[in-house]
Amino acid sequence: MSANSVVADNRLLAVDQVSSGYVKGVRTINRCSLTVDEGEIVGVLGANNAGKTTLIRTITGSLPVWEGTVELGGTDVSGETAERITRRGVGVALEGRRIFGSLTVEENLLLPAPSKGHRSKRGGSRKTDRERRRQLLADIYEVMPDLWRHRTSSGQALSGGQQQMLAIGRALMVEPKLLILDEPSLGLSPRFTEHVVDLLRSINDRYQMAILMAEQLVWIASEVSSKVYVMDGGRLGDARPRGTWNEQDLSNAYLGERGDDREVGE
Amino acid sequence: MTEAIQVVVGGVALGAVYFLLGAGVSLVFGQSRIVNFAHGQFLVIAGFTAWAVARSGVPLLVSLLVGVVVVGILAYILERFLLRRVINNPFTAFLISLGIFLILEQAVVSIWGPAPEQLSSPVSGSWSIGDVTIPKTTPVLIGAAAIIGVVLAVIIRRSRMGRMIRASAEDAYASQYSGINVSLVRSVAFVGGSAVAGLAGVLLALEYPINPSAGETYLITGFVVALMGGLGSLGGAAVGGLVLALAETVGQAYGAGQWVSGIGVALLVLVLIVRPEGLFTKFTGAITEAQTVLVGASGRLGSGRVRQVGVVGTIAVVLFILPLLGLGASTLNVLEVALIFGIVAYSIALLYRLTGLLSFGSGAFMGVGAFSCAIFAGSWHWDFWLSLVVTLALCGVLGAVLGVVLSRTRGLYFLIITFALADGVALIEQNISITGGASGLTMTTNFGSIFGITFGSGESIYYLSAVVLGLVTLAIFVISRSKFGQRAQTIRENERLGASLGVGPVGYIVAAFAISSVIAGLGGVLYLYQDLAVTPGLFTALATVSLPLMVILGGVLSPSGPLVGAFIIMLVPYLLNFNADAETYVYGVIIIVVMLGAQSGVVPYVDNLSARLVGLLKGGHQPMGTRRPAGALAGPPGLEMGDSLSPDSRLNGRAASPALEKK
Repeated sequence: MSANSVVADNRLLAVDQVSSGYVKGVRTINRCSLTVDEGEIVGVLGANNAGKTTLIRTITGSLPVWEGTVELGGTDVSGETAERITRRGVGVALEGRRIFGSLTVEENLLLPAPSKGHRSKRGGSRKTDRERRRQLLADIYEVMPDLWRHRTSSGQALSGGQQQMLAIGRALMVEPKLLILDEPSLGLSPRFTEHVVDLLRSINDRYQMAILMAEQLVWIASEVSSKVYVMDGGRLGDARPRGTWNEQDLSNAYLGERGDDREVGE
Repeated sequence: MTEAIQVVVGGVALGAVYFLLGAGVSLVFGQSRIVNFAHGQFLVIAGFTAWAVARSGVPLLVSLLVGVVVVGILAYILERFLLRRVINNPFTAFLISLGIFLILEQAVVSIWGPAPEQLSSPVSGSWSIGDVTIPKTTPVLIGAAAIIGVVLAVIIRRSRMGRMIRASAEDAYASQYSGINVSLVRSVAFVGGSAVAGLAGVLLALEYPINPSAGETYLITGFVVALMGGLGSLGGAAVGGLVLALAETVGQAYGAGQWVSGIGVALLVLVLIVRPEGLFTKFTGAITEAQTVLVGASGRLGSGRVRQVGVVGTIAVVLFILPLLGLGASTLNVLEVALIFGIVAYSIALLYRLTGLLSFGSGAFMGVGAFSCAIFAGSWHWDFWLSLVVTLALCGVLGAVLGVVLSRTRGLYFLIITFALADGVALIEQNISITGGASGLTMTTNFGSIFGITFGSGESIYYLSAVVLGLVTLAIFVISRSKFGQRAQTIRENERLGASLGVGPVGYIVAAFAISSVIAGLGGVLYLYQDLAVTPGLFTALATVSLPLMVILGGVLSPSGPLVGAFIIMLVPYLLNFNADAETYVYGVIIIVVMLGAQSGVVPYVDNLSARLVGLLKGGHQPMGTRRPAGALAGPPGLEMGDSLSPDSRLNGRAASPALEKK
């Protein structure tokens, strides 16, 4: 299959036949291809050990791309560091949230530098840069009032749900064109998970921001995604556009039969 | 009363310098994760550079600046070209910095001579208030330290760079995803912290003479201050610096002068017992990191055992034949000493294998062993065998006590305390009468006889040492393979897992310490009978650096590693017939080269190389995953960063290069 045979004008991320892993010679993810268009929400569904986190690490540059290519806005970024890819406008909310406990909530949010893409596009001076960031911070506080309330307390003091908010907020401060979330529902109560889903939808609406989300929970992905990939044993299935599945199909796809030759990573 | 005020004023001035030392350590270690052994030497270099520049007629302020800038540049070069390459493995970084320290210390002496020097300050003279005289430099010192402290606090607490430094220190992996260039930020923290040490140096030189070989003392002072106050806390460093300086000046003034150098470590041990995370630590994450960061290797004695047995056998044959070759007395003497140090090196390797802790304190137990035996058998004329048994028992008990205290510590604390241990024991040896004071003790009796053989001459002690070495190696093998050893190694590899299996660490650590101390003490006894004399501090300088070096160099987990390391360290400088200066440089270069090239030691490296060679000759492909690809360091940055900063490798420094541990 070739996901890139027809390249859309508004293609943001194109992952083509990418393999990677942790131990030399053992492909934890194997020839994975996916695409994300501008403004689109894409879900990657898979159980534990399916390779979701490895896929995200590879796309975002903290694992080497062994083969295949990762293109961001038409530029090949395979081999770039996570820091540079982040600066190209990819905000990542990591698995397990990884809040900086020694920094306050606001310091966590102010940590990221504005991404390069935004700077050059608007050609703004430092002052408008600062202005824009202040606006962004205000926006984030507006969408996540909890963070405003706790802005001076240590990141450690937040509850799990608040930490997830902060992780998403921190990723947004990169001014991303693409927001990547690794299991945003992990460790959250069902009610709070719904809250996160609403939040993602409103971010997507508000900024026309593309979102790539790895999840175990079928309903989250199925509710917001315009297309879904099912991941299993380090392999990514074909894209399934909205309307071609229902929740039951998806559940079967990765909870049902499995290949026996799974290579387990993570 | 006036005397007391005088003492306090002196203490506060010294405290200002100590604060800067501690703040620098806090910044370098707390933020860049590098335990830089040369940190104290940076202080010395800054002081001496400023002194030399000022002497050539340059205005004082400019000279001070030059001193600090020189240290900054030096720190940048070291970080950029040496330490950054091994950032994944803090332990290797530490050893490389040890090599750097040896070279820098020797360089200062070579360039400027061994005498202490002091800057001639323009604000010379002093004020007299009643009977109290205050040097005019004192307010300068205190004011400068206060200003520097405030500037540092503002940078760390309020600036963007400060945020980035704190974030990178806490979670380098997550920091990348905020677009932070982690290695750049670490460089900044390292160079900044080193420059603070430079500032401390030039300020210190204004009021006190700086000793060119005091870098190690300043390093320990800096660590004591930083750890006492709590890593990462500037306020803590200020209080810690003040407390330590006052304790030292008060001790000096009121008749405990000879004990002053031990005060710092005594205070540290006290803090450790009362409040292990430091007096002022807010964020506990930093200290867990501080405690685990130096706990190194994984991997056990595994495959390749047959080859290893072959190596050990070959060594045994060579050892047996060597004296028969008609070597000169001095060569035989060097071989003897190498064997004895080899025995002690095995005690370090055993402790490491069982607990994952690398002790710098074996010299202390060599000293205890040698002196106890000299007192019992020499001064008190006990029977030799009784003396030997009591001596070894004493070492075992002291080792166990030390184990109890140190079982609470990991990483940095452990390092500093064991490092200071040999100094502490030497301090006691010098200052109590029973050990013969500064001149030490000489022996008139010989080692006891076994099967009618008396061990007096050089050759017989040589063979005795070789046999003891063999027995110790065997004992270590048996202990490692025993149930006790297996459980201890489980703890070493994963303390939490061990605890969940009902294997608590304390008992094992204490036992491992006791065994290791007995072996080190035995080495001390052999040394005593080899030389028939023992002087205080004999083992201090030699043992604290050379012994761990032998172990690391040879390969700490390799059965023949410590012995091979001992022979390299003892024989290479002797055979090349260097003078003492050149020897130090050679040591330094050897450490750096080996640590860059073969992190797990020479023996595993050669072993690995030969295995690959054999593989190539057979036409098969190389064993997988035994080495990182040659270009790994210079490879695409994505690969390097990914390797180094993945969460898995953060948990265990070595995980980033699994290759080097497994064979």
